[in-house]
Amino acid sequence: MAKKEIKMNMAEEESKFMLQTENVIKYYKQYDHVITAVNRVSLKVEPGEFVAIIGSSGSGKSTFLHICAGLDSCDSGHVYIHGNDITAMKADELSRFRGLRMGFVFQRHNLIPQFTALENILIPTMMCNKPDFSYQENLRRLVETLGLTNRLHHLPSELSGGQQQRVAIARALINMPDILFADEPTGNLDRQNADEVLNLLLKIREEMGQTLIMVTHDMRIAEHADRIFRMDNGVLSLHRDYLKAGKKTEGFN
Amino acid sequence: MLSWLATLALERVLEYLGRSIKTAWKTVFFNFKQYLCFFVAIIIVQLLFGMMTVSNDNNNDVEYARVSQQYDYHMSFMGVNESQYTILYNGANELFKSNIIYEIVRVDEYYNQIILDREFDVYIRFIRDDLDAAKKTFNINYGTKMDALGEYVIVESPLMTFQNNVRANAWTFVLVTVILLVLCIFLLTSLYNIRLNQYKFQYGVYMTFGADFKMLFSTAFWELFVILVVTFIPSYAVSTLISYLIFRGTTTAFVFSALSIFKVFFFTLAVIVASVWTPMKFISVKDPMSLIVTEDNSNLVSSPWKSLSIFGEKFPTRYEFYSIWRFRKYNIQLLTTAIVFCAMFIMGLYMSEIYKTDINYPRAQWEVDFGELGYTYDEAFSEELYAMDGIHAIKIKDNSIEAIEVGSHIVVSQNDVLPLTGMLKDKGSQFRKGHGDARVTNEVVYTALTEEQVVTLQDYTYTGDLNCLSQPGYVIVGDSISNVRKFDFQVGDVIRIAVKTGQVRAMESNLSGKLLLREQLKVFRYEYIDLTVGAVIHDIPSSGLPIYLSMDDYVTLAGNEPDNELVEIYVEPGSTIEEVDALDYALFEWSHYYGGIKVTNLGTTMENQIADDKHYDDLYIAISLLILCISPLVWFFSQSLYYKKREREFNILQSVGAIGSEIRSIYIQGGLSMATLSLIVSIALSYLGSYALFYLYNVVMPNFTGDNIRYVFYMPWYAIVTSVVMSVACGFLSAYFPYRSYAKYRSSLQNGGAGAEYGDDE
Repeated sequence: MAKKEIKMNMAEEESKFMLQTENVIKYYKQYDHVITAVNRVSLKVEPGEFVAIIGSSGSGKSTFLHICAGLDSCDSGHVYIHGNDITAMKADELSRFRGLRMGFVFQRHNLIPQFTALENILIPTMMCNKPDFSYQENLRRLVETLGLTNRLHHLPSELSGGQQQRVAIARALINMPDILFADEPTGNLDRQNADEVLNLLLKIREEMGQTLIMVTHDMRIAEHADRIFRMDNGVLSLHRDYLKAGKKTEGFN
Repeated sequence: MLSWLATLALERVLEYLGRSIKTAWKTVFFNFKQYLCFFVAIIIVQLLFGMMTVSNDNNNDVEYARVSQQYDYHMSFMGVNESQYTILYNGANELFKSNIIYEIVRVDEYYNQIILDREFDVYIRFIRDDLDAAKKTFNINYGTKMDALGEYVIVESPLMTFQNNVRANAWTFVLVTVILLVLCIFLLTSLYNIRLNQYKFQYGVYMTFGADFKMLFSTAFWELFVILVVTFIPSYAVSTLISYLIFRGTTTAFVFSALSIFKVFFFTLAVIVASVWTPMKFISVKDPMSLIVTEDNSNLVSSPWKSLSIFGEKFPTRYEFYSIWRFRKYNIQLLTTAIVFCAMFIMGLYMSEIYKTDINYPRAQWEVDFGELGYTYDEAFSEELYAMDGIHAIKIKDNSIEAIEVGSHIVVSQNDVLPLTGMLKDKGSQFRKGHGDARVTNEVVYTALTEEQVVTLQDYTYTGDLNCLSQPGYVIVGDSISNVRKFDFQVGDVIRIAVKTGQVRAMESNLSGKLLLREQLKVFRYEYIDLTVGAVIHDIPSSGLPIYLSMDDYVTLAGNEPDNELVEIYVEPGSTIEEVDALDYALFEWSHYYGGIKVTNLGTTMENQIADDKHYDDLYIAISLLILCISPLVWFFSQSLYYKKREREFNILQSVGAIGSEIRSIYIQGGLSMATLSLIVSIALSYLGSYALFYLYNVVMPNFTGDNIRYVFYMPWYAIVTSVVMSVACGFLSAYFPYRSYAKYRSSLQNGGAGAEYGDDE
């Protein structure tokens, strides 16, 4: 275990990118056809950067995001998170790495129905066996920022869609991950709720300094990213680069 | 410093335990319905282990009570002379009391006609608990001295060998425990797999946020652990009560051991650990997304090309038939898992029958060896023995010879051979030329049957006349080889027996089976005796095909008369131990009169009595009934989750125009289809399971145990009917009840909780 830690730290020192993908390919087989969902995608994201990936439905953007977050496997290529090749990790190693270093917000909140909001938020701490004292401060801050103070002991079925998604965001951030992946986090919300949730997400990211990779089909949301990529038939291309243009991420009014 | 570290570690452990159990408790009781089947399953597991453990505790006591009631001595020394008796007497009356290791229980004194002197049978009982050590000391101090003074026979009583029996019981317990462990692990793993299949999403979320195998395993483990703790005391109490009821009729007081509580707890714990290990290992290597996306139900909707005509005349019939195919993997898994427990139920009942057959099977009580001083068992001895009260039959043991030993074989008409027996075709003997092909086998055991010995065959099922051998040219035959029926002989059929007269060349050695027979047919010269079947015995145990010949035919075949020196004596069925004791005393008196005739009590009546006292037959029935309860558990648990998942599909179908009665048809057709399939599968699996057991006991086991018992294959109809009715009912009702619940839910949606059920809109 100690050896692994050392190896990871060395890799981190060597890499200046938070996320790096090299020629990632993912196929799906449907009957006799082979569909290339992700086609030789290479991407480099620096720490603290906000990257948005846009594209039409079925373009492969969610699949690519899942592969980057280690939630899905690729058929070839490599994904590095801060220099650690997650495609070469064993299942258990990857799970624990994901729990400690990455956060994920799904389009559908994917909260566990029998757990309260608080218990749902604390799932990552339980899964990574974190002692109570290590997350208390972060929990307090997240709950306050996300306006969940009075909703902590409610079940997901007793919360509105926006509240459910805020719980999902708190869950993704409770372990203070280095990088946050969000798969259309506002896709299921109305405009007002979507704006509210996105503002909170950006605010927290700014406070905690996480790298954010977000998949969206809403150009209005993508406009707030440092860089925007477009996914088309599994091929990723740079759409806009606001970093070069010197533009800053701002919230919605 | 150390105590601080220990306190810290303890705090962490307690925090971990507290958090794990609290979470598990909440999960289990929040979703009580979802976990209900695990409650029942774990109760069944505990009942099974509880019954086995408590029964095993009682078995040793029952056995000891029976043995000590019957025997008051550990060893007996038969036929010792006066000097040897003196050594034994002095040993029991040592000057220093601390040196005494045994006492003399009884001495029988008699006059030996052969050596014309007094002899003694001395029975001793060790007064120390460690019997092995006492025996060792005895041999050193007295045994060697007695050996130097002449021959005598030592017999160890079952009281002496009881400790070995306790060890054997312990091994039986271990074996049964392993079988139960496998069964229970299979049960819980099946249920857990069903749960995992339906709740992959939850584990996908856990894995997204860092859960590795260890974490997934511990989550599942603590859930089942909570159920174990909650159900343990009532389950253990019920299992003890069942065991008490089973042992109620025995002579000894019911034993309750506190250790069994721990045993049952740890067995169940082991089952839980093993049951969640494999499914969780399997889940932990999956990609989390593949588990999460199952929640979106996309895999539950028919593919478009199959659904094109769903609202045409083919809906809902064709749609649901297609669904059965669509979910074939699930359906096959459900059918086999649920019905395999029905098959096990039938197998358990069959085991109970086998156990009872085993106990009641006629076994020799004594073996008598006439040969030591050159006696032969003849009519005079036979008359003397049969004059004793309680002797049912005397069977000569050494009046048989295998065909291979004398280079013989038999030739029979092909019509008398059942299909697929793989016997060689006859080429050379021209047997019944013009009457079709003939077959040859050398898997035959020839026995010389005297008139007096006919009684030994009367207990079997037979057709024809057992006294036919008194006329020349007749033979009595069995119909099986290795307890498997291979012939279809009828009275009046003719069989040909080959008698070796010489050989043309040296035969290749190291041959066996058909190769040996082929070689013999080439190398040997034969003369043939054609004999008419006078009687056929249908259920006689067999290694080779039993053929009973008259003494003349036997001598022609074997070249000489059998030795007739070794016989087995059977007591009248239903004899009590006291009657057997009286007969035992009479036999020993009789043997002492002649001297040189060795009578060995095989103790079978007591063994059967002990086996009867152990009530394994009742225990098997209780276990079988418990196993049968598992089947509906699997049906209802699995189907309720399955249909719950499909409710979205039905909602979608309704949203695009399907009416309530069509949805009801889907449920009913699904239920009827599963009922029909389960009818077929349950009969097939029950038949296969029972036949496998029959084959194991009838054909495989005799090769290892040497026990000569023939079991009858049959399907216990009452068990089959129970199993089939249960499977069919479960198949249908496990679809119908989810429909009721769905219909209620839909009507409450449409009518604010009160209104028409499905079908009213027809």
